[in-house]
Amino acid sequence: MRVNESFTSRYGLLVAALGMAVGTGNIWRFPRIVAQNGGGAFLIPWLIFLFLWAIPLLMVETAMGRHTRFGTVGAFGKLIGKRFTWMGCFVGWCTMAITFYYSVVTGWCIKYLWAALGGKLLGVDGSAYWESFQATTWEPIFFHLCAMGVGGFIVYRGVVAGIERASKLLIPTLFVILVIAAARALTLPGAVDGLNYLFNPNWADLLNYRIWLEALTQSAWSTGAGWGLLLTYSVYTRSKDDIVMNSLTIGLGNNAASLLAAMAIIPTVFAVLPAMQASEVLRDSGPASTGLTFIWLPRLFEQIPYGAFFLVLFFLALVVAAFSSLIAQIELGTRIFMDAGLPRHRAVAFVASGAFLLGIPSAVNLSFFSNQDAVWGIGLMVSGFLFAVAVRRFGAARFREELIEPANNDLPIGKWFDFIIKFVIPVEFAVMLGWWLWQASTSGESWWNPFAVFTLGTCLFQWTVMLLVFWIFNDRIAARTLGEEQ
Amino acid sequence: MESGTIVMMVIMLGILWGGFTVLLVHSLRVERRRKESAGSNVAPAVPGGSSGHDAGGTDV
Repeated sequence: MRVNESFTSRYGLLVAALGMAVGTGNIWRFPRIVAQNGGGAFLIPWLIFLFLWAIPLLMVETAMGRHTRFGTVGAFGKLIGKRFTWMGCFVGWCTMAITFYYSVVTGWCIKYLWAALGGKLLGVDGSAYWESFQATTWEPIFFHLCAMGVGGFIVYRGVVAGIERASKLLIPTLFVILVIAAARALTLPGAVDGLNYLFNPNWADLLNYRIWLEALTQSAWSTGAGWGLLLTYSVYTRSKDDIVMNSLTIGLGNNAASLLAAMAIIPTVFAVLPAMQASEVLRDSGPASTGLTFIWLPRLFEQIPYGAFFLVLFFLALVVAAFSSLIAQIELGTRIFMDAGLPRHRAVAFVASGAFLLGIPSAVNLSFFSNQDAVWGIGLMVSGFLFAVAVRRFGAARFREELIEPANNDLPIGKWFDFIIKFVIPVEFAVMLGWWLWQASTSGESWWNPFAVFTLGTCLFQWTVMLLVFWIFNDRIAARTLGEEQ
Repeated sequence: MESGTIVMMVIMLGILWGGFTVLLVHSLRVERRRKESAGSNVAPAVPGGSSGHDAGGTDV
């Protein structure tokens, strides 16, 4: 299917790409991960991995999408040969598997926004409210359907009238909300304790390797690097659009949004609760990591002046962030099926209905949700590594000279790019995977169990099944997607 | 507020927010300059369809 759309301006591309990157990971995950990993000390490796993992991979994705004009499946096949199409399939599947339950999370956000608007979150037990919401079964499915329906409709409208227009509304709105929420939090009495907790580093924590690994995971998860989402959006960019500065802007903007969200949430927690209890609350994951966002924050907001208003604002920010990322994920799936010959409306219908159905198990069972979150969340590391492998196979220097340098880059790119792609990213991947394998295999007797929720066995089993399927059908998928292209 | 907090705040906010703002403003300025220099050669955007910009000239 010929690509006949493109973003109308650089600003349009940037807000869409920022929307892709800024999601619930920034508002829901980041403050919790910072709190669990030493506050200020965590920020240092988090910033380092932004430059040594996320931004180089964002550049690779941009260049691959722009050069090949294919979604993830076709991009790998066209860049390094049809027999490597399975790599793009794995990247695409990994992101789509996340989409199945990400839509469920978006549904939770819609439900809580609706409840906050009706004042139903104030004066109630957060845990009991959450459990009663989950116990209905039909409600999580209904809100999951709403999320997928609205997201599918935006993508159905197309790149310009749907994605770009929605992003131009959503992203500035999100940043304004975050600024207002942070300003409110920082003016609360006791907020300084929260700032000290967030920013003041304990240098000894940097010797803890777990902090470095969590920082890398957060960087990969939050920026969208290695997901194939920016690759998909880059299919719709002009052939000479900047690559280097755009990738930097997206990476910095994403992390800036994360920091702002943490500056809104952590000082609020410290302003309301005694310091000891505040750090406990910030570390409380709760069921499916919902503790801080869906259980504690409603309780905390009701104790600050105009709390009801700021609670609405907070869940509005979550909904906006979730949708801006969800539409990028739906577009990724849609582009893959469009590459295989389907018109947009049929591809969207197929992807949205399929994602809705495959998301239902996560909507009704939090153990299944947690399993998928672990398997495909960690799978993103594999996806990022596959991008580095593809560039290495193509030739890192050749990739830079032929795919990145010819663009109208406002910043030059040097040979450092070759070094990072060829050595740094593979080493990061190997160390992290090795650590995780060692941790997982020594943490319990049933680490090999493929049907447990959090085991090494379940990750390896599900990855292997999907890799085998894609490897077996590689030639058929390549023929369908690429045709006579090479 | 502790001194370590102030130093880290300045560094993190400076790099992330300072960097993001500078790059975004620069990008928009460059875009405007290019549009002005291109003049009437740039076709207006058509919602839902081709924007008038090339999508790489591919036959994908």
